[in-house]
Formats: sequence, C-alpha cells, structure tokens
Amino acid sequence: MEKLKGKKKREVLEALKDYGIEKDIKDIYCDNSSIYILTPKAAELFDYINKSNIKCRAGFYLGKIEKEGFRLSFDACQLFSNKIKKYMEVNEDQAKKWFKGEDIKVIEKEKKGFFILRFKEDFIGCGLLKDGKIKNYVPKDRREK
Amino acid sequence: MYEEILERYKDKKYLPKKEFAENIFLLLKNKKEVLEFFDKCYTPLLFSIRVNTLKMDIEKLKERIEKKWYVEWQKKYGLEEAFVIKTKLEPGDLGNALEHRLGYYYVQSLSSMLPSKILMPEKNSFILDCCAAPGSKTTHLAALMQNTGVILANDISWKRNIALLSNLQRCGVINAVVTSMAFQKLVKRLEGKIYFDYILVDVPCSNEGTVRKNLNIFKTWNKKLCLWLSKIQKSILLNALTLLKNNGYLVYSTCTLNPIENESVVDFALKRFPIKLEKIKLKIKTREGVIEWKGEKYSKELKKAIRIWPQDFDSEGFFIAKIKMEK
Repeated sequence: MEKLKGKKKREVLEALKDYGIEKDIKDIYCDNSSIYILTPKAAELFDYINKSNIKCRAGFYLGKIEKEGFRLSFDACQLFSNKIKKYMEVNEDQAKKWFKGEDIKVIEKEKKGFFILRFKEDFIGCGLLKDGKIKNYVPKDRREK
Repeated sequence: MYEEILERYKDKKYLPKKEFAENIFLLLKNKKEVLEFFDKCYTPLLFSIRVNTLKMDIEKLKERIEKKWYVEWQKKYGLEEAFVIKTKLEPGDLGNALEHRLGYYYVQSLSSMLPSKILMPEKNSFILDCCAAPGSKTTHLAALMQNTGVILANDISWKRNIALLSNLQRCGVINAVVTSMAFQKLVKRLEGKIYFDYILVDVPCSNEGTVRKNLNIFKTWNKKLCLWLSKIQKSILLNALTLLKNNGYLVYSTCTLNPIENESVVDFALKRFPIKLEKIKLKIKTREGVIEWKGEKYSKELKKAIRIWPQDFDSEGFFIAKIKMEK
C-alpha cells in the first residue's frame, strides 16, 4: 500500500465529492486500484510499522477506482450514511435480488455510472448502472443465505 | 460436595472434573452458591448483541430489532449499547440478519463487553490490543474512541486475523493497524520506540467462564493446561507493561475463574513493575479478587480486581483488573 499524494489524491477526493463524503477523508492509501483510508495517527503508525519490517495490514477499504468512476465499498455506504447525497432508491423486490447477489433492472436507461443504492433507511451498497441494469457488487459474505 | 454435584447433574452429558468443582467450592466457600453456579453452567446463555455505534444509532437499532425479536436493553447495567435477545433463535438468525450484514451490531456476550468499557479510552489516544482476534473488543474500542486515534491490534494467528480484518471492515473501523506476530516478538521490535496510552490484555485462557456456551470445557479442562496458560499470560502481561506510558492504563482480562490465570498473573506483574490497581465501579454485581489461593499469598491490591460470576450477572464468568502505570 502506498500513500496517495498530489494529483492522484485530488482525483480520488473529487470522485468522493460526488457521493458527498470527501470532507471526512484525510489519509488515503492505494493498493493498485483499491483505496483505503486511515486516521492520521493510524497512518503514522502504519508507516512506522512498515519501515520496521513488521508484516501488517491497515486501513478501511473505501472503494475502487474503475474506468467508469469510483466504486464505493459496501461497508463505506453505511459508515458515511449521514453524508451520502447521491443515491438511487430501490424497492423491496429489487433489494431482495440485490442481496441474493443478482443484478437488478431499472427503468432509467439514460443514466450511467456508479450509484449507491438505498432501500428504506439503509444504504445497501454501490452498483454500476449501465444499459438499464445495476451490476451487483455485494460481497459474498453479506449476501442473504 | 463432589458426589452431590455428580448426583445432581447425573443426566448431563458433560460433568465437571473433581478438581474443577473443588476450585469453585474454594472460591465461593458456600455449598448453596456452588450449586447455583453449576445450575447456571447448565443453563444456556442467551445471545446478546452490541450496537456498532460507528454505523448505527442505539435508539434506531433498538426500534428495528424490537420489531423482530423480544429484546432486553442492558442500559440499567451500564451497557447502553447492549441488548439481550430473549426470543428463541434458530442457528444463523443473528448472523444472517440484515442489520448484522450491514455492520450495525456485533454478537458479543455481555461480560466480554466490560474490558473495553473499563479501559474507556479517550478519543485520539494510542491503544494496543495484544490478543485481538476475532475483534469483538477491538471493534468496541474503535467505537468508544469514535474512530479516532489508533489501535494496534495484534494476534499471533494469521488465520484468526482474517476474521479480525473482516470484522474491522464490516464495523467500519478506520483507526486500526493489524499485525500478526508472537506478542513477545512484537514487543521486542517496538520497545523503547513506541508507548501506548491504553493497553488491552485479554489473554488466551482456559475459558472456564464460557462453559454455558460450550459444556465441552468441563471435559477438556485440566490443571496442567491452566498452569501452562498462566506462564503465557504472565509473559504477555509483562511484555505489554513495557509498552505502557507513565500514567497509562492497562486492562487485564480473562474469561476464566481460577486464580492461577488471574490474580496470580497480576500479582506477578505487581512485583515487577511500578503499577497500581484501580478500583472498578460497575452497575452489576461483582466480587473482589482473591488475595490467597492454595497457600500462595497475593498483594492486597488484588481486592480491587473484579470477578464476575454467571450466577451474579447472567452472562459469562470473567476476571478483570485495571492497572495504572506509576513510574
């Protein structure tokens, strides 16, 4: 994992602006296209532990940079639920399919890109809207069994 | 007394060994209480959950789960984020519930919530969780700190750390750094370079207090195991103390009841470090730590440690000591 600086950091923050959560993000780390966040003190300790050659993992997986935009992680959707401003409401049938790991059909054919889905009061993950369908990214361990 | 126990529970699959029962009698010193303890051991533990306040408001979750289950809020015991589920649950009901998958709660016993509550770290502090996996207490500490500061969460087992990492992610923890090393080795690498404001030492133990969850403990329990664990616990505690800041706090806890793994370990540390025990005030019934066990005398400071018995507080048995470094 490497700490993001300069242009790349600004790009990620810009993408997060769309969701309304950029103000809460300070230290950003990336591992290929996966983005992680840490508190400043955790970032400091992580750097130190890494330099001491101690195997460690750190950071909350915030999401991934994809060619269609920034895909917010499933868990980030609830963590930042108070801030989220860009989302799409789904109904009960759609939510059921979503939690089974299936893609869901929507009427909006013109819209595209990543959208956070909201079912009743819960933010239930982020999916890619393309050609009237939202691609499912619910992690396997969070799907309905 | 042992014969009476065997007779009383003769239809049970697992029975306590003689030495286990004798230890309980020595600790409680009262036949009636010993039987109350064993009666409780054979009473299955009700599930309890802790609201993950990083993702969910307590009142909101209360409202939601009350629509599904009959729950009892544990606020009166000072556990405002805890609920006991009184409805009979099928296997997987709690883990598969939407609220769990969204990280709104953590399934955790009430007693196991106490060490983090007693440590009560301030926001922005520097914390070490020595034996962190699978993460019930680490995620609780993160919530108490409101995701500020940092928690160094270590566990010797990388396999167990996979569960820890998954729980940290599900609960939305952003202040944790996870290492997987023998704790003593980790301390050697950090000693003299990093010191912590708060340390949680929730050590591996013989799990006597969790017998309500797993009666097999009666079968697997043996004195040799306790003595072997006691050596490991002493080593972990002493190593942890070398990383504690002056005026910093350390909580030592186990889910076991025998003094060899509890008072004896803390007493060992009291003789080697400039530390004091802090009085622990809770809203539940607790008992003082013992100061004498089978001819061995411990420091009177240990009266400030607490013992939680399942017949006093309807959860698991626990031992907790809060230590302050006073160099």
